[in-house]
Amino acid sequence: MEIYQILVPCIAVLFMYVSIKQYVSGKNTFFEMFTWCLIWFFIIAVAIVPDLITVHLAQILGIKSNINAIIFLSLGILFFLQYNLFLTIKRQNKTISELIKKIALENKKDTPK
Amino acid sequence: MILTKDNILVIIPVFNEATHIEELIRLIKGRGFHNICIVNDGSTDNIEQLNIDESVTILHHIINRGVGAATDTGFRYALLQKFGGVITIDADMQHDVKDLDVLFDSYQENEADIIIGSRFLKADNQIPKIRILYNRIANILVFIFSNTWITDTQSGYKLITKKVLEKVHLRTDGYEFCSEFIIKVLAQNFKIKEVPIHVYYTDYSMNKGQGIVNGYKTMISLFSNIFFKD
Repeated sequence: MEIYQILVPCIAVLFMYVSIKQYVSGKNTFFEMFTWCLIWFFIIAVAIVPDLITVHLAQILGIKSNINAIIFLSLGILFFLQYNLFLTIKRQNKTISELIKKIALENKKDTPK
Repeated sequence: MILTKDNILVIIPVFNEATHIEELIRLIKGRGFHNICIVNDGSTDNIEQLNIDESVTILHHIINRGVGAATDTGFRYALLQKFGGVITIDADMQHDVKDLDVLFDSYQENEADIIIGSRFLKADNQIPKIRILYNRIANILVFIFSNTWITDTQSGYKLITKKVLEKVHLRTDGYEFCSEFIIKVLAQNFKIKEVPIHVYYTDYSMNKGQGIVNGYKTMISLFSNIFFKD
């Protein structure tokens, strides 16, 4: 057994614990907690039985090399998460601007000329 | 609605322009435009402490959101107060207030929905080459999306009628709002007329406008708003 096969599951379990804790304290939705746990569980599985998982994955995706399969899949997930992050920031920026505009107009309404 | 100087609101988006704003207001009033709205976009130069005429409306953004957001706040105020139209003008004194009449007279003659003051239709304007380049790129982008060639899509000197303000809603906050606005206006078949205006570039106004990094951000923001609507 390699060192990373111990380290990666430990880190993953820690992040799963954080996700669950955030769900329990109401900071995350159940869906978010479940999704993150699923991702960390997958990472644990790949770390513990890398060949079994990656060879199957390569076969399913039709990619010859199991290493390439895992890299492509990881990139795909990262891009998806990045896109979600981009949309969230964009939406929040829009909300902030909308609030600032409304506050500016409301304050004017309250101030007699 | 008939547009007169009395039912036009002059909107001045302002970010750290306290040194010029009183002079600009005085000049605008001198041209017979008495409805003025300053949108203070989170300035940090104590604009509140200036001795600005009480007849001038000042709207305050509590934090800086960009010239597009500030202009949009002015548009919303104009609609709330039922003005017949607006004229937007830059606060850095690069525009000549005499051209307020050029925009206004052109509206009276043409009755277009928007009159754009174009810096590039006046041959004797001394425009820095880098500004010409930025503007040309923006013009090409607008042409790609609207199939209409406008000589100065980035002009901050425009007369816009109420019916345009009612139909066109801005999504972008920064300089890219100029391109977004023109694209949306053309998509709704509003009539645009361009008239030549004077422009005066100083070191001060050159530092206020778009640089290379800002221009890049503007382009990315415009594209992201066109392709990634949420």
